[in-house]
Amino acid sequence: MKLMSSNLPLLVLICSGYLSIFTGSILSSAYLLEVPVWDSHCLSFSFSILADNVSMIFVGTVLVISGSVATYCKWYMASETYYNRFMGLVWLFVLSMIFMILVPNLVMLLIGWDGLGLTSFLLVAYYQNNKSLSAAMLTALTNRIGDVLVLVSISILLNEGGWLVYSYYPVSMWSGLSVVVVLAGMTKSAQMPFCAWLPAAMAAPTPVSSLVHSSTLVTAGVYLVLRSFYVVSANPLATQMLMILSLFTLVLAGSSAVFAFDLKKVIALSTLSQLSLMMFSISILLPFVAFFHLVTHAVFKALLFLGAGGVIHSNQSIQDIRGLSSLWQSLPVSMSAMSVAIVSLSGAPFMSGFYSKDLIIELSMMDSSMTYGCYMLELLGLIFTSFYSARIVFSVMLGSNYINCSTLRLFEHLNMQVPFLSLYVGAIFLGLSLGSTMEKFGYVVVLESYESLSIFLIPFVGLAMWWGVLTKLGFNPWSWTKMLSFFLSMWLVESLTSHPGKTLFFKSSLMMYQTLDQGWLELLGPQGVYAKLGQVSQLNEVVQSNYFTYQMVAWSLVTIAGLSLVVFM
Amino acid sequence: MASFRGLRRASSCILSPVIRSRPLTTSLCLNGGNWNKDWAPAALPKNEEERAAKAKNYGMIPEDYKPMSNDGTGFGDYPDLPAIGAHSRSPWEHYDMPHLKRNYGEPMHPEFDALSEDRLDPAFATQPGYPPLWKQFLILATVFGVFTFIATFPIYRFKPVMPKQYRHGYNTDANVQMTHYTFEPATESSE
Repeated sequence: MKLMSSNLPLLVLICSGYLSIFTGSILSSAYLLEVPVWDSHCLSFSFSILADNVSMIFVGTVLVISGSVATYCKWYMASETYYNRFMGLVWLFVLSMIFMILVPNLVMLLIGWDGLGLTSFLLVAYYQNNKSLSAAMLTALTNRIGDVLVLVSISILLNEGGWLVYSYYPVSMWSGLSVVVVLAGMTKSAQMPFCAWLPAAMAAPTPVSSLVHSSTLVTAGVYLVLRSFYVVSANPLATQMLMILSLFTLVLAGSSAVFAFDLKKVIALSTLSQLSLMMFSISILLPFVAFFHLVTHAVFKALLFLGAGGVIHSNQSIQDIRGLSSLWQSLPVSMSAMSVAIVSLSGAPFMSGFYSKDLIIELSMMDSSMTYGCYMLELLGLIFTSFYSARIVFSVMLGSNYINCSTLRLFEHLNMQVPFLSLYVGAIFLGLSLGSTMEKFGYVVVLESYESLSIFLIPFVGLAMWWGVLTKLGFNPWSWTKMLSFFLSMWLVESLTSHPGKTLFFKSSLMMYQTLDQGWLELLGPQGVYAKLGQVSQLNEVVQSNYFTYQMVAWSLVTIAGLSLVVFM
Repeated sequence: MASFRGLRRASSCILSPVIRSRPLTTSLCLNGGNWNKDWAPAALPKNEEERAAKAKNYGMIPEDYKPMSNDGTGFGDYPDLPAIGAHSRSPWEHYDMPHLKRNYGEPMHPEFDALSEDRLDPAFATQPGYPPLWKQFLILATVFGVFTFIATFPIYRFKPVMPKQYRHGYNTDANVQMTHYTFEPATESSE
């Protein structure tokens, strides 16, 4: 009873989140509240809030997940000395996200966008060790690229006459704006080549990962591209670029997740692949379907992370999936949470993920403008999803590795179980509910029977691959090692996008230091002046020490010159 | 690049008699506690005995000791150490200072403060399992090229779809403006 009363505000928050989702799904009109702040000539600047069904549903999702995560933190972070500081950062993070969702003005949006970058840095670096600081720096600096791109978008839009990018319909737009907006979205949503930071950000505490990798930071990029869809869709180059890079990230993340050993990294890479699917959906001009998947994915991914957090916290902080096995016996509630999330993630029928993910596949199948290659790569990426899902199930939940095979039932606190319960509802019913009530998610799908069957078979193909490929690889350790080094570094993208840039600046700064600071600036500055003054003063000394001689010589010369003038003129 | 190198060489030739003392590190944020006063730059060794003595001073074996090139930038007899970041060093070793992955008396790179685990690692490509940097670029570029080729190869999945029939629509197939339906009042039914 005491627990319930202490959690009451958070439970109210979760319920209001679901209420907001429901209201958003039946809302037929959009409301824009605009407060003028500054007006000069033809340029006006105002604070605006946009409440339409997209923003209402997204805010609701953020509230549900943040309420669940805050409840979970009461158990997970209970022993932390700086618990209040941690929670303060979490709420600042959530506020930044809500600000970003509700404000349709790019200038004001930058506050929320930048706030996300700053608070994510502080949260990732929360444990204050070198690893977490390194990951936080990578996260923050990659996000700074996105900030700069948003600033560039603002300056371009200023030339167009307005900052309300969400409702902006391109009339005489510079086509480069689409590319800039897409790139800004790609930095936050960690699409290739900005994808190295997302798995690195796993250094944050697990509840933060749950928040960051489900509904907040990573989805901010998708949301920006989605809201500025008119701008993006005006330029085929931007959509084509987004399509290729998102498909590349989809396959890259999926295949890397198959080989990763860190449980949190597997889930982070899974997030990356799902984000790529959303971006792909936007690139084939289906923004609302992407948003549908964004919402359902947010809920089941938060559930998956919280379940994984329970596993890690209860097993001496072991994150390596080779050290975790048979956990269905010791942690039945956490495992049930992870099971529901994984089943939803792999798109099993009638779960939330099924409605959104299958809609993307079906509508892309109906798209005649898409090449066969794109379609096959999309299917490959989705097969990888069920592949790594199966890996988690068979290694963490059911496997037996004799290292950490405890059959004792561990204590699962109520503060851990309540968030699971709140997110179960979303992970199971949200897809059905939104799909049936929201008009924008209603599509008529006309496919041939073999095509429908192929979609249904995707999870089973992934399972067969898990069995066929992974078990065979075990017999050839050399091929296993070579493949591992390739896949564990995310197809070498991780090392190539993070290290060479820093090293280049390191070496060039040393060169500049030696050339300028130690070189020309010293020569023309203090050391050069010092040397010249020394020479001048030495000369002066010579003159002064031989004053009489110089006087005699000088006056003799003057006299000779005068006499010469008199004689010869 | 060549011009920069030329400038640097020229400047160091000119300045070598002028500049007498310079800091060992380029950064202001060096943690002085880790640095040893005996490692202050001194004159270069002239013979093998001096060389062995210098190596001993820096805690190295004579075979490994190689002073930096005397280009006038002021490092003196300080050893030319490879720039290996803490990220590339073994995580399993028991270091005297685990947070720096460093042992007592171990010679420090002049840019040591930039090579900690949260900053730079110029030697990242030398880790076991990783190919050299140029090969990494080549592999990724090849994979991306093949990928783009597959994704953009122009074979389309044709799905026959009827054009949308609005009241007054433009039929792209027939290239004409068509009227698909009208709103006439319904005929009155006979009573």
